[in-house]
Amino acid sequence: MAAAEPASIIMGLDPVWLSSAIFLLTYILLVSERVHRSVAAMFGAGLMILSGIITQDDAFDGVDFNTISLLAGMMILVGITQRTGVFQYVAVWVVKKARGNPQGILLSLATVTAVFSALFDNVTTVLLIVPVTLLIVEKLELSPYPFLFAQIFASNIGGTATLIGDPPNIMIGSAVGLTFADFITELGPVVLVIHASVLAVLYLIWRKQLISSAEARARIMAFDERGSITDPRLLRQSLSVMALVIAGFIFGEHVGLLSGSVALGGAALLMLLYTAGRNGKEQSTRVDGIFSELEWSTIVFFMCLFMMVHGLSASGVLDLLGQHMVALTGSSLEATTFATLWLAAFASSIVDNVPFVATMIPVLESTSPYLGGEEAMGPVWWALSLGACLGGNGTLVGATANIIVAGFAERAGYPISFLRFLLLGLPVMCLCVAIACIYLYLRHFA
Amino acid sequence: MANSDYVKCSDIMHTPPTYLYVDSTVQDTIDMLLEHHMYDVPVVDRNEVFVGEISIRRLAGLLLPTSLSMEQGLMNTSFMRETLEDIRQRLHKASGSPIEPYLNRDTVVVYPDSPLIDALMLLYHKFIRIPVVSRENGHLVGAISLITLLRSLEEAD
Repeated sequence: MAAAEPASIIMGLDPVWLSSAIFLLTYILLVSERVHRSVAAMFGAGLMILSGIITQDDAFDGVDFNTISLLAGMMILVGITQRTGVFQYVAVWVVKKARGNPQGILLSLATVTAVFSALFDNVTTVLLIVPVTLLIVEKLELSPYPFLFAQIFASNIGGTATLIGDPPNIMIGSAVGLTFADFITELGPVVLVIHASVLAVLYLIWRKQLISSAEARARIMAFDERGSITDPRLLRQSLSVMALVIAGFIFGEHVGLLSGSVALGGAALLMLLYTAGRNGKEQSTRVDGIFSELEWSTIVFFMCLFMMVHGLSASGVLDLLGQHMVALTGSSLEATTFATLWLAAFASSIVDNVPFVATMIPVLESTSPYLGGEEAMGPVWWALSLGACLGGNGTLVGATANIIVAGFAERAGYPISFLRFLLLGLPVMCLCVAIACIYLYLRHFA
Repeated sequence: MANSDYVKCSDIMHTPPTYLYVDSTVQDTIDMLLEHHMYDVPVVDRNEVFVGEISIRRLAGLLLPTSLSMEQGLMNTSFMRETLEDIRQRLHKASGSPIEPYLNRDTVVVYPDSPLIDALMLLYHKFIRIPVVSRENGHLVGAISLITLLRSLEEAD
């Protein structure tokens, strides 16, 4: 991307300094949380255009519409699928398979959370699984803390495993051309190890508290999971379309289908099935209901963020950052990989990982000529993904799912303070990233 | 028509109203609901200042598991199987608790000098009973329900 013409910049200011100032100001607004993140991003993107750093056309060119399509498509698929009650069904089913044993429930519900987080978004997963969890622990007369912490960690770890599991992966995959299969094969094994390790740690910490009476377990075993399914026909349709979409993610690349097209295609098909055979009014109600549940603020946030990062890129700031990074790591691919992993983890535990990854992608792209070219950059992208996703476990504000679970805990009378979370979350995050570090070393550098 | 012909809430309201003190317990509320067949009970502090209402809906919430009555809690409960004993245990657990955490403090009220049509509109919009509160000192001075109004109309005939 060519740097912006100095003449077009407002009052002849230096575009590097001006775009950096706009970005910094926006970042401060984002971190302060005094302004909604989508409004902060709109403000930043608007300033980039109004100050002349980029034109409106440039701004729209900077938006990664594959990422936007993938996000929107998955939101629609999840929005319809969740109406079937399948999340509750699976949660109750695994709890009964564990015979109501608290230790088994801890492990099985965390694993269900991880799997759903890998296939759907983390926030939807915890919104649907945590209320069931709270009900089950209430019936078992146990403290919900072990279960809630396990599910927070599992949602962030599970989301790391796939292209669609966490927004950073969607952005990285789209920008670099990594597919669903790439993510599963590269990150799936290490995510399994990390998930098992974290569960082992939680089990060791809380095993003595995970005991319940036979009477309490009998209450759980009386549940009938089939009652969770609200619409069996829609369930079959949703699961069939999801299977098609995942097949599309895996095989679509061979016929030139990008993940965004697959997700939107799946969303269109499921909406067609969801509304088929209804009269006009019913169709409108259903379609309006689905679209009203789309997270428009998230979509706007992503679009404006892309515009802002495009402004930084156009003014040459990201190239400069890339050169500094290369100087710091001595043009070493190995050093860059591990620096990216830890930097991404700690940064993502403090600030939203989406703007961080959106900024890091072009910075790292600019370092590729010094690190052996685009083909050699694989470990760096996996490090960015692992760091950004696993970093969410570091603090209570590290991921939206953490805050959602803390909200549930508070309402149930079991508050999770920032410090309480930090004392467990930070060591868990360091453990996760250390395992990722060893994995990357063994796979790419040993 | 003279201004004095216009009916105000104070012309219709029934006094003294039935109410609870803010330091009452859930069991006190249950006793009052059973005795007076009320749906919403006005609550005042020890200075007789109106502070809010406790509704039958909030009490129903206490009979549910927390994960069902909380905001964004479980909506579909068809998989659950509960006994009367389960519900009785939750009621027993809650009955000694003070009612203060369960109060609705954003209660809609009318004033003694408010036009009766205001109260009638509120009754039309789902409110069963509307507290009448003094503008001067916030004291609960009466209440208006549809029954109160219909009785007044019948007496006027």
